[in-house]
Amino acid sequence: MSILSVSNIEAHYGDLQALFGISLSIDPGQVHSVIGANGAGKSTLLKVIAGNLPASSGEVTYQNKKINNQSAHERVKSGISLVPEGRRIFSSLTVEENLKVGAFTKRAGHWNLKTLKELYPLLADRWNRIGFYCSGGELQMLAIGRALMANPDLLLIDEASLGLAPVVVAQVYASLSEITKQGTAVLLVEQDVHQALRASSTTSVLLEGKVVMEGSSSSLTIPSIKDAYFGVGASNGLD
Amino acid sequence: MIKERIVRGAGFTRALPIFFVLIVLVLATLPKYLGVMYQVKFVQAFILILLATMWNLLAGFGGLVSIGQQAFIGIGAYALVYFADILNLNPFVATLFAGIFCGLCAIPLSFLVFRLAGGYFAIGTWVVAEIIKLFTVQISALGGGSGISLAAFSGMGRETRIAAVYWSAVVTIVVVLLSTILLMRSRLGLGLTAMRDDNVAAGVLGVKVMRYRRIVFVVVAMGFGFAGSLIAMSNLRVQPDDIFSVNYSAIMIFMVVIGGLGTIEGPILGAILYYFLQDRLRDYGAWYLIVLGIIAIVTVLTAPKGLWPLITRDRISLFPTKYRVISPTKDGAR
Amino acid sequence: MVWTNAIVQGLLTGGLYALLASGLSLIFGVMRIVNLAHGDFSILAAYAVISVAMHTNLIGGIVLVLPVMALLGYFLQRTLLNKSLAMGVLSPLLITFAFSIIIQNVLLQVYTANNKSILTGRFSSESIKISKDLQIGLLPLVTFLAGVIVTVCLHYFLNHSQLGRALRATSDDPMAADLVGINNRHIYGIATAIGLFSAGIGGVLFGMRTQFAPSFGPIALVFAFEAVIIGGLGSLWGTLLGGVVLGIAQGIGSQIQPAYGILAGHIVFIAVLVLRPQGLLPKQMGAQK
Repeated sequence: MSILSVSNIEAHYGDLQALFGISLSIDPGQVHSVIGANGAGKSTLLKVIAGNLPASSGEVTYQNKKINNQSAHERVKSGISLVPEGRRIFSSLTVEENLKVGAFTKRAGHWNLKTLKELYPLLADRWNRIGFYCSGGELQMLAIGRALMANPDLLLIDEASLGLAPVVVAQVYASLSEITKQGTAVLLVEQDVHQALRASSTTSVLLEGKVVMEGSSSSLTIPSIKDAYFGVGASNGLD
Repeated sequence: MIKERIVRGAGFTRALPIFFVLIVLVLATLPKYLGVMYQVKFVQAFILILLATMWNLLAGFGGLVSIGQQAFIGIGAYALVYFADILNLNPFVATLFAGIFCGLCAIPLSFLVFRLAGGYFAIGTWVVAEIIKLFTVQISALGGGSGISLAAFSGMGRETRIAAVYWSAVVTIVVVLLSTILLMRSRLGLGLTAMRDDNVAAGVLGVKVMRYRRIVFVVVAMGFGFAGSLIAMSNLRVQPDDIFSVNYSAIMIFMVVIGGLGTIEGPILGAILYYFLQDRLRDYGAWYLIVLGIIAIVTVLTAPKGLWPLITRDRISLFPTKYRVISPTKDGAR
Repeated sequence: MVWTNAIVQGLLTGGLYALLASGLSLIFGVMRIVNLAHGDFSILAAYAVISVAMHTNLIGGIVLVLPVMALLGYFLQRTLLNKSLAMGVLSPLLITFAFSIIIQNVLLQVYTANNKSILTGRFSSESIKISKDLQIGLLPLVTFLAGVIVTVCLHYFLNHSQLGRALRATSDDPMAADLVGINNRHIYGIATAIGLFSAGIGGVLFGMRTQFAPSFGPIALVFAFEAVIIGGLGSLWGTLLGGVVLGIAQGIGSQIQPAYGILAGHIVFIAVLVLRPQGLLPKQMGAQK
């Protein structure tokens, strides 16, 4: 039974339509990756699921309930957390305070200050540093940590590896398995196709606001994804 | 191939300058036919229009929300008395000088209040107005706390005096409205509109935000100076607590918000509406201000652009300052 | 000795300004709006205490009125102000300015323009004798302590409670706050509730110390504003310091000539604005947006 399914989602920014009938679903404890070129609608999809942007049509169903009308903070309460684009760490709060605020909804579960220190030892070293002064890698771990403090059943991560050093990317991806071990489903938006396929069990490829390809991550091949990325047949002219 | 055209104004706008000229002609010939009473009333309405237009230029175009413009009303009024009575200038020349003096005062003051932003700018201007009042009260030549009378007209008969004030008001309002329109049509006006829509983006595009704001602040101060000297002329007396009253700000904000912030016509409409409202509600004392406050809140929340855009649906522009694109396929015929 | 006395009295008065300013500063810090009716809410609370105290007693009045002020703040925020927040920077200013006009005139209708004060009996006349020429009034001392206590409480609340952290988080980034489960609209309500609660304390102490009339709200707002600017935006301790500096300036000014008291405060405010626009004790870098 899937924890989240979206069906025929459309979304607009003002007059501009960004999503054209997107459907996908995720099972508990699974990692589903969403890949696609810039402007394909990946971040928009996450915003719609997190409740930051209303869907103009279609259904968002979470744990068998339609949640279209729930606001973002209500969705956090029911277990959907988003690690937003740009991380959006509270810049005047310390690492510790950012994590504590993450637990605002007081959802019970595995994650707390202690288990997060174990998950990201780097954060433990920066415990009293103000968000404003954190490095990119620290911010990303803190952003994931802050989202985990709400003990989500569904974790949405927007751009897990963007702008990070390879060492940090490796650490972030290593932590994913720890997260899914708790039964949390992860919906991952990723620029790096190889990374996404390796980390996920299922994948959707987005192009211009539509799903153009989906399936188990192991069944998707790079050339076929390339076709989907740029429109069918594009790879004939490339490489 | 037919291209889109970019024109100013909308709809039947271009016939309206003629209409505007007609109104001015009517206003100019009115004193002959109206009684003195009505001339006084018209002067009151003109002052309100002047105040609303100036505050709108500052807030609606310059993005500077001030609640301290009574500083310049006061300075203008006192300057008129000083120039006309103490320096014995012709009162009309004195009015001109009073306005210029306000503009000069605004330059150093702008460097002070521009250090504050947003809401704190608003209170800052108010504090400056209070300080100027406190200093004025200390000057015994200006009558101290009890104020001073304007004597320049004392040799004139009542009717002549009122007609003179009426004429000054007509001239002032025509000059101020025309300059406002010209200002908004100039490069500066374009920059101001860009600033209002997006301060940072305008700055990046090379609009000198600070400098434009300062120019507006100074020009508007001159306008308030003229308004202040008109008020002194029609009341024949200047009292510090009245002329520096924050109520002026309340009234100006009310008129502009009701009429339509950031349009040229809106504040005029707001001023006219306010004129009739105060005429009707004056007898209710404090309730009248309570009602105005409630109307303002309701307007801000339900019709944030004010009544003018609501009534005209942006189709009519009496004073064309905005550009719009006319596409040949859709409404090129208009 | 008269100067020491002037300075000490000014310092004690500074606590009152800090009280008035802390709520203004908090509301601005969380929502970036300036509550132009802040002083009027203070005066409203002072009048309300007089009215309630007539039926019960002074303590009863205070205990009843202050929570009501907080509720009023929460209610106004949730109904009118939150709506205006989404409409740009101008709307909240206009609405709070309208509040100011409405409150002043309602008070004028109900209580007339005559001066009133909150009667505290013996309390207002008792004092502690420090030396032959220096006496500290009990009421001014209590006022000052109230300013310090409110500052300390706010500091503790903002830094060490979950709700306080949520307030700071919302101030930093409302959207991200939404994403960790914080309802911005509720948080804004809380901020205004605290703001009006502290404005209420300030108003009541103000009303005990001096006579007041419905038109005194703007003066209270101006003093609070000057304390905020002198102290430095966004800094609680700065606001306390700003209040004290303002109080001392006014004390010294009044000592020169009674009419110069308020003017001296204004001059210090202008001097700070010109010479040190970030304020005496600005918020630390990194903590800034």
